[in-house]
Amino acid sequence: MEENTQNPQSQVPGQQQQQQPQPQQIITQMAVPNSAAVLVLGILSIVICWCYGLVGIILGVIALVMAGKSEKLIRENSDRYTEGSIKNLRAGKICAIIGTSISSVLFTIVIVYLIIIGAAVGTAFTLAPWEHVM
Amino acid sequence: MQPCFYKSNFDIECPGCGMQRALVELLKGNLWESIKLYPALIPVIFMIFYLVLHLLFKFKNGAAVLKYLFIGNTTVIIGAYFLKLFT
Repeated sequence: MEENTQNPQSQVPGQQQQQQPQPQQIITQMAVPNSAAVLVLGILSIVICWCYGLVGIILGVIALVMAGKSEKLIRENSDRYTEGSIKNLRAGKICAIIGTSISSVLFTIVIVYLIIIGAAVGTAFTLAPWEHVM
Repeated sequence: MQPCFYKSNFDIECPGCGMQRALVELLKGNLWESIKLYPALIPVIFMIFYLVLHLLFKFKNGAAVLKYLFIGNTTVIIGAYFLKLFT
């Protein structure tokens, strides 16, 4: 934060900053934390759509949570992070949203199926003529 | 091969059904058979390959390309799934 106040022209691209003589005023841009992980998890969430939808939901939600935390960091000071990693994060977030929604639809089908099976088995259990069986 | 949970329980194929058969056909070299079984397999493999390359070498527009590849792949997977269900 102190570096920002010392250097008001901090949005100049990296080449011009390196020409400045004082080394303390150079803002070293770094990658957003977890940006690559968010991208990988977001893309894998749709590739693993066949695992009952559950694995896709888990991966997608992890990616969304990580992306939310990193977005907060970016909002605090956006010029500390490289542009490429910010783009990675945004793309990964979109992928995670799509993957999570599709996986959750699949997962809902499994849950509905289990509920129907459970209800059918339950009714058959209660309707069975236990007096004659026992 | 790993049996599908949906196919064995519901008699409905899931969006990932056919991926293993398509992969086997692809490894045998039958490109057209693989596309017929699971059209999204080759784009998905390409997307993962591109993702690894992008993370290693940091292409300039890599994130945007990956985003559009992802949306295209999802469309192909869902479209092929409904085509398979209703035909």
